[in-house]
Amino acid sequence: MQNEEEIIFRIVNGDLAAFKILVTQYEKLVSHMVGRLVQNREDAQDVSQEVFIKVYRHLHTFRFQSKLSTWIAQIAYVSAINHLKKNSRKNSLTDDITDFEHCYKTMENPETILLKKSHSEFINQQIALLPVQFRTVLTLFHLNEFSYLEIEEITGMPEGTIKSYLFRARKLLKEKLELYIKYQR
Amino acid sequence: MKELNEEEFARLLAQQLKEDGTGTDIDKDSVIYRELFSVLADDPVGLRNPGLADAVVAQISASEEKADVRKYNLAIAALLVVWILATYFTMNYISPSTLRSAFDFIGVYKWLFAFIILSFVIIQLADKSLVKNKLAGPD
Repeated sequence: MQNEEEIIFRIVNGDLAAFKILVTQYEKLVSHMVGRLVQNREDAQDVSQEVFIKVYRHLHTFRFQSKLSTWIAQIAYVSAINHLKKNSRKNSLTDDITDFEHCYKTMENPETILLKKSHSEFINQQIALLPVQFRTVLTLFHLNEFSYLEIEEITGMPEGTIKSYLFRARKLLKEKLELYIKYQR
Repeated sequence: MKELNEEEFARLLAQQLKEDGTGTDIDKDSVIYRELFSVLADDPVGLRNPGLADAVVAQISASEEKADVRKYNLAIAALLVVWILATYFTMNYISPSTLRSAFDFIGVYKWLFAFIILSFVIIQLADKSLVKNKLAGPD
């Protein structure tokens, strides 16, 4: 196993085999991040590719002041957000979260809920209905194991906001899961 | 996938229940939160992107090849421009006799110039038509 610095050095010198190793190492992180934000599968694949191309082009500017995973996640976040902004008619980034929380609670009726196969599938479908900010913090914290400080560095959101979004997102999902379990019985 | 150990889970749960303010039915809530945290940490199948590494590397290789071709074409164009300008300045600002002597020089070494041009053309044709073989080996 080669260390990260050596791989970066090789990539900066144009070694594509080394870059393939790096992509394999971080493809899960980028796919999770981009896939949760850009929900159209084909668009998400294009944005993921775009993220790694940006990583390749700008890797020489990486100064080891943060973890490479944080740096790559930051590029993935910015690319996904830019993609959403371009398609902002479909995906409004400025939706009022408070209004959303009110609507979300009555979004699905129990009959529809019962059609879902597993808790996992149900929760993932519910996550897809959450606002971008909630999806971002949930993915970065639970799936990609970033700390609050790292999420702050990636997204530029203050730590308090991140905690608040995480709390509210979990609470909404918990209520939905509770309802789901209730109707399952 | 983030595997929460008991300690981490207890911390997150306590925090969530404390902030939630509905900690009266802790047992029931803790079961639901436990389930939720476990699902949130699971790798979602739908987000996987198989073949991403190959696709990215292929795209970068293609764009680098294009960039090389572009650089080469620019170099040829620059050479042509320099040659045209040099001819123009020689004819108009130096003297026709200097130009004539330059052509005489080419005439004397015409076979050498023909050989250089022919070699250049053959190299270019070979570069475009021959297949590049790469030895197989561990990357």
